[in-house]
This record gives sequence, structure tokens and C-alpha cells, in this order.
Amino acid sequence: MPSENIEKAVYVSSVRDLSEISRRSFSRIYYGAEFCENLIPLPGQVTRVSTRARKEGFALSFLTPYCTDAGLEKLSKIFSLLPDRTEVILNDFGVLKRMREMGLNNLIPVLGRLLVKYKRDPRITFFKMEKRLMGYLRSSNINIPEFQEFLLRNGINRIEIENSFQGYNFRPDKNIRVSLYYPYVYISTAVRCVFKRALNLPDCRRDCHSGIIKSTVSGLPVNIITRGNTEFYSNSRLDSTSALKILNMDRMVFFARPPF
Amino acid sequence: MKITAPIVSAREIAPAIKAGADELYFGLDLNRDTNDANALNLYPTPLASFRSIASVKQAIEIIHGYGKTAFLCFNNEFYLKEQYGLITGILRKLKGLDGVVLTDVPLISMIRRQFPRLKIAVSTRTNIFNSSALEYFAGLGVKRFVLPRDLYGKDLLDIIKNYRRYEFEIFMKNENCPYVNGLCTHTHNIWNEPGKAQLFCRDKRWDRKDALFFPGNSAIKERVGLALQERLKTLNCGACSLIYLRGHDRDNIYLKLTGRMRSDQSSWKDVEFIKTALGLLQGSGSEADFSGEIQKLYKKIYLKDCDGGCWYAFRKH
Repeated sequence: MPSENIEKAVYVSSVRDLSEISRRSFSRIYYGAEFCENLIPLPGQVTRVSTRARKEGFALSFLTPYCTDAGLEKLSKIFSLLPDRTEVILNDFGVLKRMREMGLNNLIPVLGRLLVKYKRDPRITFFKMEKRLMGYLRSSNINIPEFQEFLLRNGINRIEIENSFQGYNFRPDKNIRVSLYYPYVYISTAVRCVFKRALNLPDCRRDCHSGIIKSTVSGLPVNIITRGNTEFYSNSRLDSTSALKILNMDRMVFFARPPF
Repeated sequence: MKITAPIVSAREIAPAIKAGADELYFGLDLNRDTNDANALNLYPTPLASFRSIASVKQAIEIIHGYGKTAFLCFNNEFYLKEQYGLITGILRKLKGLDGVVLTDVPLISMIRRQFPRLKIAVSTRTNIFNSSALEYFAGLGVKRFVLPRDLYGKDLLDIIKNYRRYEFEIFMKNENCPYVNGLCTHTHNIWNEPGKAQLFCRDKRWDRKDALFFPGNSAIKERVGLALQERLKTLNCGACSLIYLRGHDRDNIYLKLTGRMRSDQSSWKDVEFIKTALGLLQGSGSEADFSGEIQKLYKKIYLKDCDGGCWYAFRKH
């Protein structure tokens, strides 16, 4: 099991969730929308969560999605409300650029999982493939020294990865820290969201809050879970060697449910 | 507006250009056994790429002989370290190449420095959903952007209107991934289970069954169930949307066809379809008139009705 020195973080979707979190178990809150700009919280909601988090002694990481210009405008209003030293989890380079333009040196950019380019196909490790491919499937853009240099030049010292079945084989620079999300591993996301009233129109009433989809696949011993516009699989085994051997991993982020 | 079409061999150049293509793009694969681990572009199968540098050189000469342009794809989201040297080595031998299609950020910077003459287009896999992302990559020296087909119509038009100094590729035909192309982490070409299809997302041989859990919301549950089936439809055309692009072209819009592994006949039909659609655009009046003409054209060329599902959400439903 992970060392006691590892920071423990938890995802919350509201102030109400925050009330149920014990400071004894977690020291950091993750909040926001990771995959859908329609679910970016309102400024008032962000203020309530960040105020409560600060009052109770939690550090804050704010999740941001890939987004259109409309989403960027929503985020821009929220950035000015975030307390100093809040981490902003980036899943769109446009959001990083916007932060720079706004001169937000008080916020800490972190590379979100959508910008960690890596295969998360749930079939990996369960179906037969050529052995030499596994090395590739454990690789990502983080393996590349030039990409790590690029991150450091852009003030990004932390990357977010997940508890995937196949694990990772990158060697991070000593200045790059790693967070591990568990148990939900991201697979794919869609703008053509099945919860919307029309697949290819932007109109959204957040009906994704009403339910969830669980999919089975012949021969696959794991379900695919769709929450909102995004699919995940679950891997809660933290005693696997892949999770424990990730270098510079100093934070674990728990998601009680698949995030939006 | 111009048409950019894919090819996999030099013998496809003449028919593609005759059908109306203005630019041709292609991949190169030097491996005997290609897979996701060693492919140099996003179609990791030997069928989808040229197989030697000599054949690419020859193709570039032929394409230039027609007065057209040639782009080579190195559009993987990341490369292993040894592949960077391989790619730059290839480019040193292809001095006539007009441009490259890239995704990987370090590779963009590397090619910008080492090959300043080459035009860099960024793949849809860079996910240019907003103006800041465009400006970010423009800052790296990118001159052309393949816009995601997931962009809503208004957002697509705003980007084109506000950034006229750049070039844009807009998907028109055959790209049919139900997910955001640049954010999907499925594999396609590594499985060697006998009889197992590759496309996990849509091939019925994987026998995916969806169970919907919507406590107290049967109406939403029913709608979502229908949408799950709807999303699997092969929605692969944006031709009706051409009417919304009319008037916005500053000689900087390229209509992109995909499908390097389609048969020759299918590919040239697609080029012919879009080329003819562009001709119809000149004289067309309303959106409804143009859409009607496109549907007639579709039937004439493909000998079947279009399924009515257009990628781009310009129209109100």
C-alpha cells in the first residue's frame, strides 16, 4: 500500500460533498469539470467550495476541461476568484495560454490527464497482443525528455496520471511530481454527448446528472462506465506494482464516482 | 475553397487530381510489420502509407507536376525518442515536400527549427477548440489548423473569421469516430485475437451491451438509449455545411477528405462529390435549396440516400 508520506486528495462535486470529507483522511480537494464545459461550476459555487475548503484547511485543485471560447470565458471569470496557490488542472493548452495572458502567477498550472497522451483502452492486459507492444502501451508523451523540458519551461511541475491496468514506464525529471487518480481511468470523451437533447447541437440541460451507463463487453472482465460525455473503467487495485513503482508519485486522488 | 485528399500510392495521384483534389496528403511507413508501437502516423497499418522514401519522392514530383501541393503526416500524439531522429532524417531527404501534419508538441518545435521552409499543419488531434489554443500553436510556428469536426458551427465560423491569416482544414467526408478524435485513447491495430475486430467503439463483434441507470427518470433514460444508437450511425459528411462557409474563404480553407484505406473508386467519388458541391455553391440560394441540391448530388454519386446526419451543427433541428 502507498506510503503515509503521500498526499491524499479527493474529488468533490459540491459543497455538500465537502461536508462529508474528513480532514483526517484527505488534505486536498479536487473540484471543477474535467471533461465538459457545460459543467464548469458557476462563480458562486466555486467561491462557496473554495471558502469552505480554506476554512477547513484543505488545499484546492481546480479541474478544467477542453473548451470552446465560451468555456474559456467562464473559466476566466473563475480564475480571478480562486485563492492563491490553487492548482489549475489543465486539459487544454488554450486554457494555459489564457492563464498566462491574465497574468495569473498566483495559480499553479498542472498537466491534466487529457494532455498526458497515453492509451487507456480497457482491453489492454486482458486480450492477447504481441508482447513487444506492452512497452509502447506503458509509454506516453511524458517519456520524452523534450516534453518534460517543455512542461518545466511553462511552469508545470506536476502531471496527473491514472491507475491504469498496464502502468507506466516514464522517468520524470526530479522537478516533476506525479499525482495518481484512482479508481476511474479515463478512456474517451465526446462532444456528441448522448445525454443532450440533440447530439450535434450545443443545447445542454445537464441531464447527465440523472443517471449513468454501465456497459459490458464480451470477454472483458471490466465494465465501461459512462458518466456524462465521458467513458471510464475502474481499477481500484492499488497494491499493483505498477501504481507503487511510479517515480515521483507523491499524491493520490480518490474519486468516489466517475467525474464530469 | 480547395480540397485536400488522402492517397497511399503514386498511382492514385492522377485520378485524385482529375476528380478535383487540389492537395494530396499521405503517410510513410518504413516498417515491415506496422503497429501502434512503431507506426510514424495515425494509420498504423501497411495499407495506409507509402512504403519507401523513394516512392514518396516520386509522388511529390508527380504532384508538383500537376501544380498541386503535397503534405506528409507525422501526426501521432507522441513519438518514442528514436522516432524523432527517424522523422527528421526522412524530412532531410524530401526537400520538395510542401508541408507536414503534426500533433506532438516537441516535434512541432523540432521541425520548425530544422525545416523552416516546411509549412506545419497541426492535426485535429491537437484539439483546437478555442482561439487561445490556436494562438498557442501559432506561437510555435504553425500556419495551418485541422479543426476538430466536433466544433459547433458558430465556433468553427468564428475561428475562421477571426484568424484569416492562417489556413484551415475542415473535415468534409469519412471521418466517423463517435468521440473527440484527439482525446480518444482506444487502440485500433494491436489485437491479434483471432476474429477480433479492431474498432472497439462501434464494431458489433465486440458485443457491447449498455445498461442504463436513471432512477426516477424514465423519459431521459429512453432518450439516452436512442441517442446511444444514433451516435453509432456512420455520420461522415459535412457537405451541406458548405453554404455556411461561403463568403469566408480567403484562399485559406481546405476541405478535408479522410479514408486512406478506402478503395480508389470510393475515394474519387468523394473528391468528385465535394468538387461538384463547390460548383453548386456558386449558384445556390438558401440553405434549404443548397441542402436539397446536395442530397440529390449525394444520391447521384453514391447511388443511395444520405442519412441526413450532418456533422456540423449550423442547422437548427
